[in-house]
Amino acid sequence: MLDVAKEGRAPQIRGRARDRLRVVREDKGALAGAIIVFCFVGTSIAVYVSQLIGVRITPYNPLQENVGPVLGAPSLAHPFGTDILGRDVFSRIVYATPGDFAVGIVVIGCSFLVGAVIGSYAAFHGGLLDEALMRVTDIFFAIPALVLAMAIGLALGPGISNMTIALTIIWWPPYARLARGEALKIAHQNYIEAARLSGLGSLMVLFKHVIPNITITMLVYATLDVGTVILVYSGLSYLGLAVRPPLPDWGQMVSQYQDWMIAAPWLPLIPGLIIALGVIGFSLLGDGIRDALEVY
Amino acid sequence: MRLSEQPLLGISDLTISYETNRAKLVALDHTNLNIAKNTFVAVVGESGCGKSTLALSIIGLLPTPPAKVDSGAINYKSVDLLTLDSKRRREYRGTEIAMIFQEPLTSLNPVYRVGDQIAEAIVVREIRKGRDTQVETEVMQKVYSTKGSYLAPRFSRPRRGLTRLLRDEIISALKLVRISDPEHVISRYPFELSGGMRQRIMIAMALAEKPALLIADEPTTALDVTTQAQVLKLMKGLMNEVQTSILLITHDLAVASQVGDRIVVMYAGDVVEDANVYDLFSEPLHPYSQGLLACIPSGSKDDSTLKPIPGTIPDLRYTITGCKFASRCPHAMKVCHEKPPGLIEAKPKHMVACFLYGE
Amino acid sequence: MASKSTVNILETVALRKYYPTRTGINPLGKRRFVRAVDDVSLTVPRGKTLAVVGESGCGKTTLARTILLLTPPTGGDIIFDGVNLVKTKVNLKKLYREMQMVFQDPESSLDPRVKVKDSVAEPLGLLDGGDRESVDKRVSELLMAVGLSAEQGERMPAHLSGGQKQRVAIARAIAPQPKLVILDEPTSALDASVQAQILTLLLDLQKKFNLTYVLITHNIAVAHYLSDTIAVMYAGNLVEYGPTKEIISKPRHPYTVTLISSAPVPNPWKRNLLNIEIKGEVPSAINPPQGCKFHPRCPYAEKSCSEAHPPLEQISQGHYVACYFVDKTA
Repeated sequence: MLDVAKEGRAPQIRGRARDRLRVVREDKGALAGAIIVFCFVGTSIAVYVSQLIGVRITPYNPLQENVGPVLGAPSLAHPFGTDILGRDVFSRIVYATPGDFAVGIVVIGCSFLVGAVIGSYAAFHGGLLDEALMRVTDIFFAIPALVLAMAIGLALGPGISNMTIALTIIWWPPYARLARGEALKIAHQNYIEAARLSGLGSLMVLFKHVIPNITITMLVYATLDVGTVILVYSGLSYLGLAVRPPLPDWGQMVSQYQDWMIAAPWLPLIPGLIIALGVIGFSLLGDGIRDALEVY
Repeated sequence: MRLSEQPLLGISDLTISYETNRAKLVALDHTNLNIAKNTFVAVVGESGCGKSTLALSIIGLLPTPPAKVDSGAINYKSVDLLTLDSKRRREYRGTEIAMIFQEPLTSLNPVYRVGDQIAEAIVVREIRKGRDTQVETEVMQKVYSTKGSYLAPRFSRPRRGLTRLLRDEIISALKLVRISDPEHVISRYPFELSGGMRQRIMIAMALAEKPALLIADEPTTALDVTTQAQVLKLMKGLMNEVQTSILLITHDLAVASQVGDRIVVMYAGDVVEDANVYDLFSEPLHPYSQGLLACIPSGSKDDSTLKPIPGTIPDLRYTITGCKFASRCPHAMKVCHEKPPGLIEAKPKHMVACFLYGE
Repeated sequence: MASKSTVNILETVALRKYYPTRTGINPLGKRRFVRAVDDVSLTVPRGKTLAVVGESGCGKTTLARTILLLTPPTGGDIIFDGVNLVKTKVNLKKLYREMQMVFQDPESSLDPRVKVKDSVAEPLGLLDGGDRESVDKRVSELLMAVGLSAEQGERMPAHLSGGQKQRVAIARAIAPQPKLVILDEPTSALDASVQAQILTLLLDLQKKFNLTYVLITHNIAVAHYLSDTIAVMYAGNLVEYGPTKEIISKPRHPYTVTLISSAPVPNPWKRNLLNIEIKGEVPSAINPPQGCKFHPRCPYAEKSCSEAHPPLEQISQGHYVACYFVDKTA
């Protein structure tokens, strides 16, 4: 008679969603990150909806000039001050949110998915396909992102959606590289071979076992990457390829007013801080998500 | 303990626990153990029994933020090591008490040649034993033409000078561990050598400092069977040549029986039996030792039965009242669940922690 | 599948697995081969256990993977249940219903992100049909057969001990009701008492389900206990093969003699370990000695040993040795 392997009390099981949320709640950093991201998301939705129904949610019209003094310092009426054309900076920042934020998420999200699949597939098949992929990614690494984006942008024509597409096209190679590295690490784990002994084909093994196990590391990279996308996108805006003036864009505001650091520091600093806040928020949230997804 | 036979190392009432923000785990629970001079003591136990914690606490390499000494003393030559500050403690490490580990590849620095590493061990020994002035001046005279300071041997250029200087001593250290062409091995890097060779070099480095006690934590677990036999035979032979005691930590009772003079059986942080190897095998007293012996496969499935011990090792994060083995013990009595048994001398020089033999 | 009345469920004939390596950076350089499995011929009788023993680098794990076609053989034949797996086109899904493996390291044999019961259910995809309910039923039967509770099945691998993980691996291996199970060092990473539990479990399962085992191990005591026949490998070659009791009590190949006498016996009155004399180490895989690979370390070696590898020859009923001077160990 086989005896059932008895044990003392079972340790905490972290496999349930309830416990995962609890992890995020307990971790103050992740909580802060979640709040920040939530605020950004909320603002984006609010702006988008307000544009649909034609209601203005900020005290001033972001495009309207001379609602306040020119280059006015932050005051009660204008908490973020006014810019060189007398427009309210706060309103401009708010209305720039969906653009920058959405671009960040879309580009990173697509790059993540495309990179994960391509990278892990290459790792598992090796040979010529792997070599070819690595050379392709090398090309992308050799040319600065902004230059590549410009090239594609000029081909597609300017505009927010075109630039988003351009960025997605050039953004996936580092993810493929990362995925490939992580996949190689687990390629020799016994459970991969066991999956083959269970009759699973290569593609099934990839999706069922490889990709879930490489996701965590890639997620950490992705959350730090959001800020970079926003900055490149801002560069494109500055060049007039994405968001064109007088429409507001954070990065564009930073570039435009960088010479005004001494005369009107709020003009470049505030949008810059907002970008930094976004990056920090994502990074903290990403850490929290990574901890929550850990199965240990 | 009779005062006339002062043991080399005496551990009394040692309690060590690991504390994290989630749980507290008692790794060693009021442990008592003695090691005499020139004896080969094998500590046998399964995972979680505390044997590695014991080894690390003797040599002073316990990671003290999570680990905490709750009580007890480690008396080495009448000095309680636990009362010493870290600087004085370090003086014992390597000179009086040396240690070798399970995985020799990670114990040796992969970017330095083997000869250099042994030379470093010898220099450390000399410096610690207060003979630093002599070695340093020799080195300084030959490598530099000026007088150097204490810090100079730390840099790599003098290292090779050191190796040249101490070459004879290094070669004799390698010959001690029966390495067949020591002149060749001196200039090799660790990755160029096999696991068995690396472990021998570890032993050479440990013994270069002529310790009175050598602790070996599962030194042969990562080695092949034939290599294991060679290394164990070497260790047993060296004991008399170098006049050292050996404390071998192992999970393999068979290995312990082949080389040990005394066997200490541990379970879940307690010493459950401590006896001369012949006494333990002819008459194991503690039910756990009996169970352990019964579950070593010997003979074929047709003519012998393996009797596994039912149940599993307890989770040490939860405190257990009474004897930790009681839940799996075929002879458990009422008192076994009430209070833990102390270590008593049931037979001459045969200690056991079990209520079957008295209180 | 051919008739099921063959005595041997598995037979390898001159099986070879070579891995190419290149010396130096020159892509046109001379191709050298690592002869991981070199001309191995053995048989496994139905319902019995064959132990393949040897030390690191002897090729036993490669042998297992080659038999399972996880890596294609370089030469030779594998005949499983009457079918030549090398010469005929094999449907892998059908093959793995009959032949399964328990891997060496319990830590890495289970996907850390998958619930243990789902890992056990994975091979059931090899069997046709079966809805959710029947799969669940089968999984709970399997868990019970290996001594695990349903609650333990709901856990993640990280929340199980080494022994429990190994039980899961065993449950997964027997899920598709195979005829042959290859066990690669099933207890090497486990404590002594857990090892005893697993060995007992394996014997029970063998009787219950009429399984044939190929046990890969370096632990002579485990091989002695569990197996009916033993095959000894050294540096890719099969050097001795025969009934377990004979090989353990009267090993004939000089390497086997060394191996058996190095195995620690739990008996302080028989300290065989301290009396052995072995010299040298296991040879390099890329540049092994010429002829008999053991000859540099063999006390009986003569000139002919370095010229050509001795063939496997029968010295008694069912007992084969590959040595020119096997009389010297009688």
